[in-house]
Amino acid sequence: MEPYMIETQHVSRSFGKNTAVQNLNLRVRRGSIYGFLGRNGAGKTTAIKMLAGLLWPDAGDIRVNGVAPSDFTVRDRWKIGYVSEKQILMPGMRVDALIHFTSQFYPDWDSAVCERMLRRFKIDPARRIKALSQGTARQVAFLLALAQKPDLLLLDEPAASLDVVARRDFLDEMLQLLREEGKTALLSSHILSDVERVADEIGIIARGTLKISEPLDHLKETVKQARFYGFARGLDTFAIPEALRLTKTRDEALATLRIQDDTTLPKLAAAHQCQYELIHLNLEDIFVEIVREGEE
Amino acid sequence: MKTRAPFWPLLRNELLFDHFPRVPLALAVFYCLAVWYVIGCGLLLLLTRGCQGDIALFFSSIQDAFVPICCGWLFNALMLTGIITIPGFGRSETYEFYFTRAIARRGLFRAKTMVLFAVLLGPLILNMFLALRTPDLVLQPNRLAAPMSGPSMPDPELMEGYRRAFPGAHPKVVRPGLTAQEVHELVLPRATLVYAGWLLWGGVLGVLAIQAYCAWMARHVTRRFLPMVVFVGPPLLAISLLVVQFGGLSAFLERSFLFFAGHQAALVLAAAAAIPLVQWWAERRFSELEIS
Repeated sequence: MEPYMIETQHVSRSFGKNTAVQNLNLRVRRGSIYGFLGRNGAGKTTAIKMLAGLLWPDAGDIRVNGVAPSDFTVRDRWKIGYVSEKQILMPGMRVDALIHFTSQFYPDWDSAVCERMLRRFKIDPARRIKALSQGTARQVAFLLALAQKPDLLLLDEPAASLDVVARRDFLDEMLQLLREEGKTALLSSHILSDVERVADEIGIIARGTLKISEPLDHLKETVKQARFYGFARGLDTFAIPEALRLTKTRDEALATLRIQDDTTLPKLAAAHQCQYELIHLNLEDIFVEIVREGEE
Repeated sequence: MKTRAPFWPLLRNELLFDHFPRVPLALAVFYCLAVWYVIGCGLLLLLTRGCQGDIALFFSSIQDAFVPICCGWLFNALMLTGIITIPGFGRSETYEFYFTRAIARRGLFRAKTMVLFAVLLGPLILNMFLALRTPDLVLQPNRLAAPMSGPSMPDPELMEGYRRAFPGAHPKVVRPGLTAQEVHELVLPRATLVYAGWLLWGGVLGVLAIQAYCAWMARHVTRRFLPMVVFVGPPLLAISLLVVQFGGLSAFLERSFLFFAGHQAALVLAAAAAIPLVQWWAERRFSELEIS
């Protein structure tokens, strides 16, 4: 069995003149929760749709559970759950009819999960999908994806329309599923606090290119911000080539950079005859810095 | 081992069984069956009652209306096929649900096609069954249109066509008091069935052409204005040309009917062979579709 549930190599996809995804090399370990982050239009949805077999890449190779999406069989699909923000369930169907319809395609269908989530989300199974709020419809979509007992969950902004409590329930359910060995999730979300809460690994995509892909803990440990001040010789010549982002004001500089060891900042300060202050960043700060760096 | 997704739930879903409350659904089904029956009967009544079972009179009566009717049917069939089988025509997000489930796309398309065939060809199939129980058609040679020679002179080519297509044709039994014209009436055995078969055969060809066209165009169609014009434009143009080209030709339908009557087995076999071929190709195109 391959160590990676998802592996893409040099994947690109364009729509006319617009390049949505460029040279994407993504690796998602089995058993991990991968937070896939990016601004609107960064290429997240296109990448996830290619993983789900809804779009085909112009170039490159994609393997999901060892299989190219273009070769997915029904059996491969049993093990891949998918929920997206825009997905439309069958509007005229009742919730229970939709559950029954979907369950017929999955031999491992877990009715207990369905019932538990219906209770937890307080969804009336006799209601028709079109009568549900957008958030509740998303909960139903999530319920359907979980009840099929997938090995991989592809979640494209699944909780965007949920309120705080529902989002928390949704994340708890996801974590409960992923406690089982070998289960993997790729989660794209704008709500970075959610991602920070559940993800093991983070990938940040900007303008179709993957900027960073690494464990969340490592990212938070190594990406820091440093405020340099008290320059003895002025800061005209101050530069840090390896910085992710560097902004200067009249008498101080703010740098976001990867700190490989404890000596990095003291060495920099000594070289430029200045003082520094270390600022710890949360995921949202890191995301903003990396995305801005990519755009600048 | 290749695993197949169950087909019956897909077909049931395409028939919208679980999409509406039972009473409106039952009413809708009843309405559709009634429409089928009316169309199925109407096609035969037009021939057997409206034209007293005289096929030549029938063709000369409906020649102006038939092509526009066919074109209207083709256009409706095109729109219905587009709505049912082209993701970009409706809401492609709905297809996102299907395409990310453990559902074989080919199976899904097959279910859609079965519904389409049933809806579009149902009345014509019903027409075939009804034709089994209707009286034989007759032919009055004097009514055969001969455009250059005036209405009283039968077109020898058409006459010969009828003789060849219906070798068992025989004069109607003469009874005292019949006019000279009625004496010349020929009885065409099984002609009603051939007529119904001809309609069904034409319907099958039309549905297959539309199915192939939709499968070919599916990846380019979106709800935006220009792709929609590109999708609907060529068939509309073709239909318009058809009306202009054949709308006024009196013998076109009749010749087509006679050609079918004379080559029934070959034409039916060809249509039957085309069904799986077009289906296979359209399924393949459908399974390669993208949902963006």
